[in-house]
Formats: sequence, C-alpha cells, structure tokens
Amino acid sequence: MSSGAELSMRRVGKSFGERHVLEQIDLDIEAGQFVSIIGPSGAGKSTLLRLVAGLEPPSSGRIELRSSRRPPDVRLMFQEDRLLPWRTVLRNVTLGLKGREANARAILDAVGLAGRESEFPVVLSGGQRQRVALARALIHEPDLLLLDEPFGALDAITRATMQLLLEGLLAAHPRTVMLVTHDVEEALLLSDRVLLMRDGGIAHDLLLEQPRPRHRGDAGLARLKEELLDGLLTERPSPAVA
Amino acid sequence: MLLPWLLPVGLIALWQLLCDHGIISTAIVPAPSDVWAAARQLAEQGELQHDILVSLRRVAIGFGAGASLGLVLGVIVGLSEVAHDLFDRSLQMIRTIPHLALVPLMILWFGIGEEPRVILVAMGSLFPVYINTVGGIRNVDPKLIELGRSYGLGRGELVWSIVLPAALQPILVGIRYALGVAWLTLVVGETIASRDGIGYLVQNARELLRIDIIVLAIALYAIAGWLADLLTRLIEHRLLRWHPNYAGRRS
Repeated sequence: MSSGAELSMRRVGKSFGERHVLEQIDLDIEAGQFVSIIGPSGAGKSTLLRLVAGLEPPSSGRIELRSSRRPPDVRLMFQEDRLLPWRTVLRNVTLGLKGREANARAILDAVGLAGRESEFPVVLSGGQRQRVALARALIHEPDLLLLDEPFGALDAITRATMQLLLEGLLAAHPRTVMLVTHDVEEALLLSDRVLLMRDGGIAHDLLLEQPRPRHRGDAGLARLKEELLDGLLTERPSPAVA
Repeated sequence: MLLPWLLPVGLIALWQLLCDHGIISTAIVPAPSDVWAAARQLAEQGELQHDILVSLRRVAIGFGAGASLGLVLGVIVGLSEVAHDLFDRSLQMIRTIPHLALVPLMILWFGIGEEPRVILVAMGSLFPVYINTVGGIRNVDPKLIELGRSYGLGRGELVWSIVLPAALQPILVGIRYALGVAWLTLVVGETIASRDGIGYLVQNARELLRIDIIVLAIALYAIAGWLADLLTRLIEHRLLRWHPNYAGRRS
C-alpha cells in the first residue's frame, strides 16, 4: 500500500466543441496531500476531476500520476451515490471485484454500516448511501481519491458526520485526495491546500498549515473563510455562465 | 386477502341463484352447476385433461420461442447502434401487421398441423418483449454505465451486472403482456381445424349445441390467463425485490 499518488498537470485544457471549460492548467499535487477545489458553478471543477479520473481525455496538455503502484489506482466518488439498487450493500462494495467479501465487511464496518451488508440501497438514508459509495471507493485502497461534491446533497448534520468520518479514515490510511466542494468551510476543515477555480483556470492556491483536528469556530479559519469568500464574490466579476 | 375474491364468488353465486329460479333460461346461459357437471363428465373421460395439456403445450412452446427471440433481438438492438439501424425499422414495420391476419397464409404454408398455431403464438409473443427490452435498455441511466466502466467492468459484465438489471422492469412488463397475447392468439389458432385443445372443445361443443362446454372452455381460458399472470407477478416480485415499488409489498 502506498501513501498516495503524485499528480502533475501541464498546460491541460478541455473544450467541448467551441466551449473552453479548462484552459492551461498547471498543477502539482504531492503524495498524501488533501486538496480542495472550490469555485463558482461552471468554473470547471468537476471537469478537472473527470479528466484526472480518466473518464474523459484532455483536449490538450498532459496529466501524469506517479505512485509506488503501477498503474496507480484512482477512484472517483460522484455527487450522486450511483449505487446499483438491485445489488445488496455488500455486493455494491465488491462491484468489479472477485470475492473480497471479508474486506468489504471490514470497510463497511469502518464507515459505520456493520450489519447492513445484506440490505438493498432503497432502505438506506442519503448519508448511509454515500457511506456505501465511499466504502466502494476505499476497498480498492486508491492512491488518489477524487470526491466530486460527495456530501453536497446531505443535510448539515449528516454532512458534518461524514466529514469527520472521512478525516478519520484518511488519518488511518493516508492517500492523495482531491475534493470538489461548494462548501468553503468544508474545504478549510479538511484540506492541506485549497484551490479556487474561476473561468476554467486556477485563480488562487492557498496552503493551510493549521493543526488538526480543526474546529469550525477557529478564528484563523474564520478569517481565511472571509478571504476566500471575498475572492469568490468580489474579485473580477465572472461573465454570467452557468 | 379475501376481498379480491368477493366480487367473482358473489357473481357466480348470483348467477347460480338466477338460473335456479328460472330468471335466466339455462338454454341461453347454463348454470354454474351445469358447467361444473360438464367439467366432471369430460374429466372422467380424460378428454378435459388432454385438451388442457395440449393447449398449455402450444402456449409454452410458442411463447417460449417468441419471447426468447424477442428478448435476444431486443438486447442486441438495444445495445448496438449498428443492429438498431439494421433491424429496428424492419421489425417495427412487421409489428404493425396484425399477426392474426396471417392465419390464412400460415394454413397455406404449414397446413393444419401444430406449426401454424405455435408460430402464431410465437409471433404474438415476440413483439411486446422486443419493444420493451429495447426501450428498457435504451433508457438505462448512463451514469450507472459510467460507474461500471470506471470500476473496470468488461462489456459482458457491464451488460449482465448493470444494463439487464436496470432494464428488468420494462422487460418483465413486456413478458407479462406477451403472455396475454399468447393466450389470445391460441384461442384463435385453435379454432382452425383443431383435433384437440381447448379451442377444439369449443368448436366441437358448438356443433353439438353444448353451451355448458362452451362456457367451461371460456372459464378455462380465464383461469389459465389468471394463473399465467400470477406466475409472472411472483417472478417479478422475486426479481425486483430491491425495487422501491416492490420492497416489502405482497401481491
């Protein structure tokens, strides 16, 4: 097991027809770093993640991943849970794997779903469904974990619980993480580094050195939050694109 | 559990009562007891069992062949753009022909043996399954396909683990509908120069003016159709037990 993959992107661009979604992205991420990406809708955050996940090829530039494992394992957790409703919780986690049931049980236990293995997703709550989706990604022990607003649809309390769960799981098994989120506070609580994206480029790159565990009420974090929100809201009003 | 039975049982009782009191002439409509007596008489001769089995066999073979072919064609056309362009237009055109209009042609080609009946049942069963399978597969959520791909499923596994289960509900609707069409087709098919089967029972009874046997045959078709529907619904409940509309509900 590695402690994560290194990512380097050089002059990466992505267009859909005439529409340029990403332009000239240069980005290096160290192994084991937790990077959050925030920014207005349409800034290209999800597209960036999909390129790194290999779900779509870049239109230009180069994306490289380096890890002790070849090829590095990359898992994307989607905004929707995308559980297969006809598979039990356990068989959703083992999707694409042969056997590995003992592993799946251990991971489900780690995400707090012990005893729910043989249930169908339909009976689970939104938070529980995202836990299954997280377990499904983690069973592969990914070198790079990509999270596309995974907690965006959850209520505030469930979201806070999920953030704590994720932090705990990553403390036990460090790996590189890229998290796309709308929630500035979430980004500040969890990450080593926050990227602010705007109009298909990286507008701000902020390193966070606050010790963990961090608390919501922390004055330093509150100041950073102000700063980032100012950056999001006032700096160079972006053209109205959805 | 008893409530759905109230109406049919009540109607039969009322029917019997009206016949007993001579309000309905048994020369026009036989009493339920007459129909029952006819059934017992035919069963003693062994004719009833034989005809029921013959009809069941025809439906089983015709429906089995037609539905399987519809499913296979539906899966191929649903999955492949090339197969869709190649086959779908033609199949949709054939579909618009009422298959019962082919009865004379079938008799000319295959004579009056088993083949025309079974082929007609198969044709009737094919299209409902085909159309629902194609529709079901084409409506599978592309996000689930993408998920399967990103979790390294091969093409076969993708079809088996994601596409077919996702399309299962419409496919089962098609199968249920096809079963109804299969019985309907059999009724028509068995009235052409049959030597056995429930349809033959009807034809024969008409010549002998045995109105009780005619009503018996109609009742048999009804029971067979109901049993077939029950069976498919049981299968549906088993296969779709993960579905919110089925989870924890009994038929």
